[in-house]
Amino acid sequence: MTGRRPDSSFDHPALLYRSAEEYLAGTTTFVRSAVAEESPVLVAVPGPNLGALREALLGVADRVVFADMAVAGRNPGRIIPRVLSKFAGDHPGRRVAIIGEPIWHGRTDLEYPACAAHEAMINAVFAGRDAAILCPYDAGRLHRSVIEDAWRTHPTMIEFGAIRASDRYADPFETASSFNQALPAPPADAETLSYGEHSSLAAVRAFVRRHAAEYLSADATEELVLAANELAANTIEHTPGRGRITVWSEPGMLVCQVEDAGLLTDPLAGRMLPGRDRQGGYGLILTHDLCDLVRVHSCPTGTTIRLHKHC
Amino acid sequence: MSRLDTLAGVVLAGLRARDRVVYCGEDPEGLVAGVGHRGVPAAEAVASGNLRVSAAEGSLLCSGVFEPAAALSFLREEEARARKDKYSGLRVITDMSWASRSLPGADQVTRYEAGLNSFFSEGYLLGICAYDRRLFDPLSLRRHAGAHPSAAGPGMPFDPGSTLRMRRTRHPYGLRLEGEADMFNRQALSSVIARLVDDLPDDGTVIHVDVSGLRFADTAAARILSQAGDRAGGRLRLMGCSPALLRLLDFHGSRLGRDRNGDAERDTA
Repeated sequence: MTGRRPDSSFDHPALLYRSAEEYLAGTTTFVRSAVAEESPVLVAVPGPNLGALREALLGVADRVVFADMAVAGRNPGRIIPRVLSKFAGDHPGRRVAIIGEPIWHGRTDLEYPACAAHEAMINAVFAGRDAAILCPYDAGRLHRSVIEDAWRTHPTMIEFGAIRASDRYADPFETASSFNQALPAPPADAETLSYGEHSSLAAVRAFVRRHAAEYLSADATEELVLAANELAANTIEHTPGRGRITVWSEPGMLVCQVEDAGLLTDPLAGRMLPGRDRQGGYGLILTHDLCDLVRVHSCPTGTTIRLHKHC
Repeated sequence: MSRLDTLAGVVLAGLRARDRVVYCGEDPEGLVAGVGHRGVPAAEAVASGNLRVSAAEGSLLCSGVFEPAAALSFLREEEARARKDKYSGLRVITDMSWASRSLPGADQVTRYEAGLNSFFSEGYLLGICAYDRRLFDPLSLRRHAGAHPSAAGPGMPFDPGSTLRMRRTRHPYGLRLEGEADMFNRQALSSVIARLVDDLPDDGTVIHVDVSGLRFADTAAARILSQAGDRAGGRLRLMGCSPALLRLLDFHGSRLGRDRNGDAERDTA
């Protein structure tokens, strides 16, 4: 409540844990002190941890909102607009406390750069907001380089029960841009379509529909068609040149890539809901909603956006 | 495929449908001769009144200036004449080549074109605007194309399934949408819907927009519908919303298609 905490500020600590006991000690302390301050609390962690934490918080469970991060945050690009900002927006004028665990053992190499960029961007989105977001990291199982990145994306660290400032925390935009990495080339035999003429969006949709229907359900096919349509429309509206769309399958998923000569420099694009009066800016947010993973690589010669749908 | 090949196909389709066909644009005599050489009985059609041709000057242009009001009244007169002559439909082909020159008034064209759609949506009139690709730069062509519900061209056949068809309905008061709504017909959709809201009588009438035939809608189309719902003060109802369109309306925070009455009328559960 106001008055109790005069320093309205944003806290974004990482909790490095190596056992279930350490995990529960760190997270339940965080939740119980937020509940004591009457802050709204959200716990968004992946399935197995969610069950254990829910059990440990039995006494205060009615004061806490729980979400399975493996579902709500399967696509890391969705977590800021659809999980964190949404919860904060549902409680205007109040300090919110959130446990967000976006990175777990089992996140793929393909997902990881998008996850790390997301962690960096939390600092930019919540700067100056009255909120605390605790991010647990399974230091026993995650790769050393992942823990190293956590030191770069979190201003404070909690380890072995002690809290301290991170000496490696850096400018969030610079950190995010270090995860703007080139994507591996599509398979040589992947089907490709060039677009750019007016009315070629209908051809883009027909192309994606034809290839996706082989692998995806009818609903998932239309979701991918809509996402691809929005990206291709962005090419036509915002770039002078043509675009190219490529579709192929990988084990367990269908991939659709859209390339054009545009430059997408803002790592916040697609993570912030545009204001109500804005006409544009919805395409990328919607794309994150519709897909299981969206990878973006932008450089002066152009932008590649890769959409992934699980089969 | 040349401009005359394309136009010959359009004229022939109109004559076969037994509609009155009106061409207005540059060199009308050249058009009659040119499509005649391509096997269309154009001279005979002119003699019988099935085909009427006129120059852009005098119909769309007055003393070289594009005047939207005069152009609209030209279309209204042609429509009245076709109805009087008992044609079941009227197809107006306007060759827009003059719009590529920097004529005074040419900047009004996109707005005029978008405004025309509410006129066409009454159902009697089919309008085809021919833009010669060689005369327009790609960006201005995209801008013009956005004012139309659909586009076609050499190597890009007119595909009724992937265009947006809009038709005003009287009972109930509203609109039927069919086909695909995307950025190329965004302005056309927006102007027809805006007109529908402007014309909404003040007697409690509710606008019914039948979207059951809409095979695809993008986020902008959903936004146009949701904003129209706001502008109509809630007196707008969607019928036959697909799950995909409902999702897009939700995305924009709109309750359209989810109100109790709307639910009852949905044909998908």
